[in-house]
Amino acid sequence: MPSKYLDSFKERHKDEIPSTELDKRLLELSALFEISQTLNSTLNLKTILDNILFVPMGRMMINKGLILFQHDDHQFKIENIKGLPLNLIHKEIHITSLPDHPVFLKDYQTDEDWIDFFRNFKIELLIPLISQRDFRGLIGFSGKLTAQPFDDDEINFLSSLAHLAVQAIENARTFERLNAVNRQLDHRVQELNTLFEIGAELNQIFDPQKVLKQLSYSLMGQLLINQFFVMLKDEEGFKIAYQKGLLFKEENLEKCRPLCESLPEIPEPVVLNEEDTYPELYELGVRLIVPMRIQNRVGGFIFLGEKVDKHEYTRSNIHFLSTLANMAMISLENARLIQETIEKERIEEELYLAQDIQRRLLPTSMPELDGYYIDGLNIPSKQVGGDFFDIIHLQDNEYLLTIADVSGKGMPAALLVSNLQAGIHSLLDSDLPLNEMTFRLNNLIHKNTNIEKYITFFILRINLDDGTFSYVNGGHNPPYIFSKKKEERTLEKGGLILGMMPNVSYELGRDQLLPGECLVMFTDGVTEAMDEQEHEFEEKGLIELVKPVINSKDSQEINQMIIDAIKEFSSNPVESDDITLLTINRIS
Amino acid sequence: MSGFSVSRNDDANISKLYLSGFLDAHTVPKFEEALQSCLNDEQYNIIVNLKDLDYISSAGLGVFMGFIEEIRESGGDIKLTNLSNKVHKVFDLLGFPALFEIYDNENEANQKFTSG
Repeated sequence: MPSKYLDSFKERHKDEIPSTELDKRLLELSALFEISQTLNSTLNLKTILDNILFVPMGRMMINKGLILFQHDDHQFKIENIKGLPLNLIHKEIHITSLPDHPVFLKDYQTDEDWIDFFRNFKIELLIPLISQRDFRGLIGFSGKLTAQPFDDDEINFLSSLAHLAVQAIENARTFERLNAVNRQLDHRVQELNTLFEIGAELNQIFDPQKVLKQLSYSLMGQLLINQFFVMLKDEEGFKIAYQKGLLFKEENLEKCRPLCESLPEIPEPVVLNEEDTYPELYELGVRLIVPMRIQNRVGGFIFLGEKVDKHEYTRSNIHFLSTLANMAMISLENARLIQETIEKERIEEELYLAQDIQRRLLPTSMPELDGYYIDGLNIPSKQVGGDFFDIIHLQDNEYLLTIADVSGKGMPAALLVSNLQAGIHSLLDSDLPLNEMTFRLNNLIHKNTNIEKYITFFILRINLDDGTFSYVNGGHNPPYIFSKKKEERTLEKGGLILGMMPNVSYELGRDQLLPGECLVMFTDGVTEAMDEQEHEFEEKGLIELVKPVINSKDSQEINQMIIDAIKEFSSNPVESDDITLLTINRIS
Repeated sequence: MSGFSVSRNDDANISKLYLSGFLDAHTVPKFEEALQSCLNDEQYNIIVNLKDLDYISSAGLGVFMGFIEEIRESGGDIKLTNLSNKVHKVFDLLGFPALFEIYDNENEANQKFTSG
């Protein structure tokens, strides 16, 4: 096409211009026309640059050429080279003043670095690329292989070429930028999709390990990371919650754990570099720390190593990670709260069961005794303290009374009480003296429990005909006998608490409950009840309270009076320990 | 919720995994299990054929990332084949082609394993 047009042009004007001159002009025009077509038919920057260099090189037999773009004040970067060492690509050169028209290097009088640089590579001619907007560049060519100088026409040709080139380069650069923006947008959409997806998924997960796993998949996939670990904070401090990659070995992490403790609560992600304030972490391979925030506090940190593609973390990456970290933290916190609720419900259920067991082990009604009042009372604490009492009719007018306090609380205590009660009942038939019976109970309890479990135990066998009784006190608070005429006396004979060591022998105590006397058995919930100043109720309180009323009140009234007094003394007497009383008074 | 399935077919010292459906945060545990089973059997040469995979999310790519180090440490590799355009776009966007070998079909991947 163009040649046809040019041929006819030549035909029409052959008389006006000398033929050789015309030929040359036409050839130049055709070349410019051709290159303008090529340049405008592509948006590929490399193709454009290749053409800008190759066309003149071919036409004028030039063997070296290069193109530079300005990217900062006087900084220029080599974008394309022909006939020059490949390592020049992307090299940066400081050009103090960009010429505004084609210049020969030989015309420069100074010895600036950039001029020397071009001279070193045999570049002779520089043609500026100047757009009406802000693009600036430079084309450089070596001399011709023919060693002929460039004539004016050639310089004009190259100038025209540069004009055409600028527009094409600008278009291509805009297109490249647009592509980059598009890709960035795609990336952002992908990030948002990932966050959306993990958000939906995390809502369904209540297992902390699974939450961390989801976090791990998303950050590995989205950011090309496979070296990271997560530290989460609980009541005792930071713990390694998740670890991925061979870089962060467990022993190294253990070493860095105290370091994490000393990390101030950084509110925003921190990129580490060599001069940073966390050289130990950098040494370990950590390049980025992302706090996991929940409501204004930091619940943990994600420590990330280098990305697999060695690229730096971009602002968008860090933003993504931060969002992901916070989402995971909320999910972890939810998981923890749910676990806590479940645990609390389990404990409440267990306490309820323990209370139920304990209640079933206590007598449901008090026997009517001829010439005696008897009353037992148990107020269980919230935590189920393991108090126990029993009244068992043996034969004729003989009764077995027992009171005990088992160590520990809750279900374990309830089970031990149950064990003790079963032991007592199984030994009833053998009609053993109480010290022998206690000897066996001790061995039984010792065998069935570990060393931390023990029972303070008091057992008494009374003959109601004359009030005589035998008893054994296994480390229990000594019961009191209150008497109108005499000093009150305590029942202390016996031996060690039950369950501490095997084959302990017990001393049998004997006494008699006389008419008008009152025997009060109790557990430490009575005497250790505390007032607000943390003073205990003590035995003294009990004596002062009961002694004056032993002949005017029956045992039930006495028990109620003691309870009332304790309630008045202590604001919350059964918060931690059971209160148990077993009182028998002989009517005068 | 769309489904995802993975099947495995061992061919000499190469394990081939065929993924189909939607690989996302919800379904990644299945894929992870499949890769872990290869490792448990000491199969470190793995071809993952994505012919029937309709969708992959970042979490799905995360599984590849999570295993590749251990597999390469053991002298093996994961090679990917038969990516649809849509799936390839996600791989490309996140820079995976720089880290994973991607082939048009199983034969090419197979040859890479046997010649390498």
